Amino acid sequence: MLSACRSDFYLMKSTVRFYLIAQIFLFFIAHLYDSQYLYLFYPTLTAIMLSLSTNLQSASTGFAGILLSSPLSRKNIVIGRYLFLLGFSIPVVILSSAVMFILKDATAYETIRLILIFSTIIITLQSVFTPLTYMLKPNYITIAFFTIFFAPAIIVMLLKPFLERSNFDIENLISTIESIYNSLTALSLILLASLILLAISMIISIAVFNKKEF
Amino acid sequence: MNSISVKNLSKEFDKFKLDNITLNLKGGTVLGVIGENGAGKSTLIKLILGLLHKTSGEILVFDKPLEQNETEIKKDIGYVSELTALPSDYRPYYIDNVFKKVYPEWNSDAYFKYLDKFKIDPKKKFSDLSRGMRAKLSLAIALCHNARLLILDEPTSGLDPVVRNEVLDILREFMLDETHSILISSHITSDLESIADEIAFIHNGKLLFHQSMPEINENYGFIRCTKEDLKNIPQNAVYATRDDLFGTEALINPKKISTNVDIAPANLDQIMLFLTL
Repeated sequence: MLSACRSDFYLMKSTVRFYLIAQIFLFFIAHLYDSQYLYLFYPTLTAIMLSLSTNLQSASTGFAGILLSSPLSRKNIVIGRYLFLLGFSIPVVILSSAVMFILKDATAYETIRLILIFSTIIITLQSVFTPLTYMLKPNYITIAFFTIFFAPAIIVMLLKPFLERSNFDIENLISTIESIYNSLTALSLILLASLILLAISMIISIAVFNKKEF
Repeated sequence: MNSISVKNLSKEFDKFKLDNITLNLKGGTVLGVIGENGAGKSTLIKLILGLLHKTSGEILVFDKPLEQNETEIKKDIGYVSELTALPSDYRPYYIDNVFKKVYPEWNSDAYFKYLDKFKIDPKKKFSDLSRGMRAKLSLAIALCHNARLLILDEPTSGLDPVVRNEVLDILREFMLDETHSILISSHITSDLESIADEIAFIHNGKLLFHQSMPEINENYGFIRCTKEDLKNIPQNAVYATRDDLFGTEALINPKKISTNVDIAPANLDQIMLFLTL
């Protein structure tokens, strides 16, 4: 599976290079605007973009067929894809947090907390998104990407009037989120849950990929 | 030992069916697969490689069932597809970096020697390679992991005669080892006539015949005559006829003709044309 991961890296080498250069540029922007979220928003976005573009590239160029004619098993190709995606995204989150730690004078506690939060977000998004990239045709993958990425914001916007009219205790919800946000244990548990989701996602992707024809 | 053995193999799509194909590729031989566009040649090859899932039938490669031994079997297969496509900025030396970890017997020295022989710059982008160079690159990949079986899907399609001849020379060199074998599909039947030991003809998803080249030469002949002359030939000796302004052409079985008729050997193009009329 490391061979498959390596193969994906070379397939996406120029894209990865581009993302890393853009990331360095964004460090300056984030530092300029003094925003800790700007440091970490981009790695989250690129994690999903990479998942999308790797599958598109692999499918559209016929590279998947070349790999499948080699001794790599379908299962290892899928696991290799996950390793590649997370092997890029998580180190970038850690790198971004480390840069923020140095440039913004953030505390170690705050840095670890942000690493946990954004790693969880990335793992969850990858877990949801990657099986879809195997299931859908290239045209629909792009639509699915935008849906998944923007759907939560749209849902919140749609629900807002309803929540305001009802007796929903939004302050209580915010304080719960805050208490989770401030607890490393709670964040670690959520990260663990996202890893379980990742394992389920891999099983689904392998099942889908096993049925695919090239 | 059979390199490939396919028994009653079928694959159904919405609008096409590869129907009940049975054929063998013996070790040390070259099997050419011919047929018109959409006949099912690529489908057959993809089924043998596990890129498509069969509907029914059996596929044995090196006498082992493909499904249970896929990764083991593929170590010994080199595959060249018609449309060798890599991302535009992919460079030939990436292939060495990737495949030396994929194939246990990948030979980096041999790979770079082939690139040198084919005048392919290892650092050149894939998009900057000509069609001929892409075909040669694909062949280099297939030849550098000590494969015993080459599966080639239209490897010479779209290449000029000089490059086609170079590719065929490489294949002949590969066949110097008696344990090696090749399954090759091609529209360019003259290429197959010069390299294949056996020919399988697929038409509309069905195997019309699978014969050795001497058998084909024995069983198929071509005559041009008048309609009147054709009447003197036994009907069971005629596979198909075609009329034109100057007379009649017929694909016949020379073994079934006792009268003195001027019979030319039929080439694969003529056989394909007449048997699909």
